[in-house]
Amino acid sequence: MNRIVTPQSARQALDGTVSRLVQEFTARPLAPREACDRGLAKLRTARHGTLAIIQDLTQEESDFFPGTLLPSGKSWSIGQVVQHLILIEGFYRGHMQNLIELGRKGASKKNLELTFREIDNSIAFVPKAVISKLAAPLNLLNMFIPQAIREEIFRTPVIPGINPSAGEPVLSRPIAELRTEAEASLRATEAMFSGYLPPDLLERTFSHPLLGANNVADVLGILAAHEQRHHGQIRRVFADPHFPPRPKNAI
Amino acid sequence: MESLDLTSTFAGALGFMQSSARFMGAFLPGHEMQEAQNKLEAFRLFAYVDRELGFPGSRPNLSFMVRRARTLPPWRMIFALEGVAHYYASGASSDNPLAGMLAGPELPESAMVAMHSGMGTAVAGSVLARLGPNPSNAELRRGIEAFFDTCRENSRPGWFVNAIEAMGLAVRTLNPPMLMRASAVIGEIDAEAQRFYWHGVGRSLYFVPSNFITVANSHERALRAAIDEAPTFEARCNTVAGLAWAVTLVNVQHPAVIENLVRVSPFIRMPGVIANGIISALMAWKHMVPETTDLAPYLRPGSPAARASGLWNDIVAMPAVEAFGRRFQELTAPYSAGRPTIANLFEYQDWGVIRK
Repeated sequence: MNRIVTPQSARQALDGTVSRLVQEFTARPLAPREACDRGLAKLRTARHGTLAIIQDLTQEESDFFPGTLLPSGKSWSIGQVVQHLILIEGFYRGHMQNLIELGRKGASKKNLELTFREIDNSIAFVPKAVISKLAAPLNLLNMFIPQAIREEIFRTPVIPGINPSAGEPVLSRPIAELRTEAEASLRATEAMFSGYLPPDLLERTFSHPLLGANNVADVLGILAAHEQRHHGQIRRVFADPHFPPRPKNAI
Repeated sequence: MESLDLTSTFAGALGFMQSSARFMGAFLPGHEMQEAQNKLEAFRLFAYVDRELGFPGSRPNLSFMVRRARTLPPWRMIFALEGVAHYYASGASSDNPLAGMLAGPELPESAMVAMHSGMGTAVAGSVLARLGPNPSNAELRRGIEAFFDTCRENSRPGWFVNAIEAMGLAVRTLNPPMLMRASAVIGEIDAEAQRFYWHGVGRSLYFVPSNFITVANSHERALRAAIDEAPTFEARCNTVAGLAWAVTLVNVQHPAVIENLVRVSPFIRMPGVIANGIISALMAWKHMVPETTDLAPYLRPGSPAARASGLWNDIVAMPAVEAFGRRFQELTAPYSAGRPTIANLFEYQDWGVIRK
């Protein structure tokens, strides 16, 4: 669904973006439990959105390839988008688990530096080989990007991205399995946060040149924003003129 | 690699803006620079209350924080009290939830207007943060019901509506594209709450970035936004009243600012609503600062030589005399169920005191 932009909606959008930034600058630091609860709630909302979209999807619809290409030169079916979301969540769950474990052990090192070797993502039109050479300036740039802006970059496809290899889907998988896995993956992430959370958890981060330094709550917010970005991609597949005809209950 | 300390950087930027407004105010005529100082100071006291009052790191005792805030001069105290409640409620989590935060009689009654607003803003902010930018209607409804429940459990009897009004302020500030959907969901749950919601939207319009700068006809701009954004006549009345409330409370010590609002308001043709917002805020001020002497300019007729003195008399002086003569006593009488309190000033009410 395309929103009509009016002067009023543009003013409101600007107000919202600036206010969220100001809130980030002025907000009291949250307790780890509260910050993680908020991040999980955002991820839950995004995942429920995904599950609602694929609720009635047939295998034919799930496997349909749209005519339009992604900036990376690839074209993904809806099923592949869902696979990608599950893979990415699982990938970052591992890193988040690592941070929680280090906190529980009281490890002195607070930041884990990840390079393009571990997460080989990129920006569209910038080859992965080139972006890896830009690690130092990107690290510097990321110091100045507040979390609210970072999430917004992930949510809105203004800057097209190229997925890391860890999030690369296979050609086709049964849609029923994907539905089950999407639910199970969210439950696994929720379970990870159900136990004791170390008090210094939010001071522990992993940093990456393209993603900046993020604690577990930041990562949950980014995962939710990333998933919402892909909702737009799924809607575009639905809107493809060659998409298999379906009843009116489509999104 | 460490990120910059954005909190300190922004606090420094706010201080710089205040100093600039103070400096320019010495040279420029008009109320604008004074209004800018008032707005920045009110926001700074609310947002950085922990620094202003020197709280220790962890979650300090609420009574201790209130005592500290009450050592400030009255105008600064009310914004600091709102900040204290916001700060305290923002520290809650599922491990450490709010439990009857303002429900007990320990805290002074005169702190309740500011503190219910601060608490409501914090709880609404937490709910919105959990919902993310585009929740489904079912999720939005669950979030708003949770907000109502938390406000109910933590408000003093008779003050619940004061706390829930802040949802309008939070939505318009943090997620304005959701303004109409949240209104509809609140209307389904409780039609009365919808009126308070739009009053909160009106208050926020005084502070949102597009209206924050006090030059270039800022009052007209904000009034126009209040008219444009509210979908119904009732919502419009509450939004305009909420805006007038915010202008009045922030600038209560500088009547020239309120005079400007009155002077520019005829274009929206809602004199009774502007009067309601201004007089409600003055009554709230009197409730918060019983010993105040700041109300005298509002209770006497405007000088015949002054611009818009007729409007001032109709919209401010006469309704204020009427309200303080009768209505204020009713609202501040001991609470009993079903009887309106000061908290009910957070919605537009037609008092019928405007001369036709």
